[in-house]
Amino acid sequence: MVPDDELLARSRAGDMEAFNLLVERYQRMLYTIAYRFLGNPEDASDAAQEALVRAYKNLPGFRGQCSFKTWLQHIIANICRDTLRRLARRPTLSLEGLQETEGGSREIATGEEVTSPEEIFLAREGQDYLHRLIQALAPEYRLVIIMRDLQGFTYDEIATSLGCSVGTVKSRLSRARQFLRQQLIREREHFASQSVYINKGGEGR
Amino acid sequence: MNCRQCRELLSPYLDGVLTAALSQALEDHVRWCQSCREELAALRQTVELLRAWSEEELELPAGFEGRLRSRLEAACRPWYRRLPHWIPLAAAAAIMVGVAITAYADHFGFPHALQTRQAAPAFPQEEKVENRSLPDPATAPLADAFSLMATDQASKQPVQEVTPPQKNLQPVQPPKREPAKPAGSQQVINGREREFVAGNGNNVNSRGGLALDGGQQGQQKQKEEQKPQPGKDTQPGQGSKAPDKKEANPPGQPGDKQLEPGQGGTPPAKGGPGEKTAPPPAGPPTSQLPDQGAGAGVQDPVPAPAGTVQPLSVMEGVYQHPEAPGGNLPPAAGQDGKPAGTSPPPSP
Repeated sequence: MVPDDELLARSRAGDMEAFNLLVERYQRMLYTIAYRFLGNPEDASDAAQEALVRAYKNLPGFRGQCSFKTWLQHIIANICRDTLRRLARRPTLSLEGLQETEGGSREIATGEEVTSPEEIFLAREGQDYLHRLIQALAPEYRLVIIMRDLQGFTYDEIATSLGCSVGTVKSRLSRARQFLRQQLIREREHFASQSVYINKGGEGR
Repeated sequence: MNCRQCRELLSPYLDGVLTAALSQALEDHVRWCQSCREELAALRQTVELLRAWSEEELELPAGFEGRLRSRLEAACRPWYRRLPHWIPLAAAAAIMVGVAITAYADHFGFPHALQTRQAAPAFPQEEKVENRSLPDPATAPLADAFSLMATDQASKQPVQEVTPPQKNLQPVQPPKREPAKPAGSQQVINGREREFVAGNGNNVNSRGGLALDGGQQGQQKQKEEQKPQPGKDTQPGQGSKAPDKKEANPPGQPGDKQLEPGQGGTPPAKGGPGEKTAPPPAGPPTSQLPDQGAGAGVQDPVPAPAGTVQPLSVMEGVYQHPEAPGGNLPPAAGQDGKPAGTSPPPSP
């Protein structure tokens, strides 16, 4: 397999074939991350394509300060961040307290109380239980947990990208993780088979 | 550290971003707090689940790659489009400008260059003369060049126009051609013309008469004996004065125009001039022509037909030179005049 650096050099020289190889190598990764961020195939496709277009346009400016894959991760994160901020209309689940959603108010998930287990069960029967759990998070929590646990960004990188403090990142990440844990544990308790849910979530569908 | 504080630090502890002191305190608390220990294990499991989940890659939706390709092509198009848009336009503009410049150079630049070469020696004189004789604004050298250009062009065209009247004088012209062809003799011939012109300068009539007489009998003789003939005609007298004036004259190509009117004045001289009188009306426009005619020999073809007209042709050239401060003739006149020593034509 041709290394990314070589393909990058050829792409910078105008070799479209080399860039197509890079696209084929990372387009699924970008689409998957965008799908986690945005929650639907349409927006995810749009974001992933936009990320590749931006990467192509900005190839001359990419100096190799990080790997091409990491660079794409930052691009897609920024695109999804902007998209989420633009599409703040979607119903979300806040972990910081009562918050208005389209169905009214929901109970906070910070404590032992976990909201609407029925909805979670129904969601579990859907395509992707874990995916739906993440989509239930408010954008600021979703961004943090995806950027940290799915993309592997550091706290500083997340804080820089979101324009907040590292302390805020720590706090949001902690709450988001506890929410997911509670949902998963509750599912395990309900079905007495955590592995089923974990495997189901691990498979992504 | 209590359990609440511990729960809040579990997440950063898993990421290893806690300070050593906090990490140690948390570990101490977890060691004796089973609830927090279980919570830590569950949270670690959740994070591991998420990270394992992140490895999964979903299948691309239908049409994803096609749309991506179109978008990449669209992103590429700006490149090609911008280049085509700007470069073609710029290239077209550059080509247009280049063609325009070359065309302009072909029409104007070449003649100008030739004239400048011929007239080069006379330039300083021309400038002086212009300042003296020409009331026109002392234009910059560029302006002079343009004026020269214009005069050249105008002179060329007018020459053709003037030629018809000269055709009547055809007998005179043919001899001019013959002398003109011999390179060495050309200067002499020009000298004749200038001499005659000088003599004719103001006195077109007298000159015309003289020219007619001498020209008819022996044009070649005049060629060879240019000095003696002019001298006979009264040119010699002027010739003596001429040398100084000639120098001044050459620069006065512009004066050529004025001289032409002088030629127009020639008609009054004699019956022969009578024919010439006809040319005078046309003369004024052609006044510029004589300048070039003398210099470039464009007039030569025209004057050639009229053997008797030779004096006229000579007259024209001379007039232009002496009177006109113009650029083209002066050089020729300067060369010719000096050797001939006959160019005091105008109005001394």
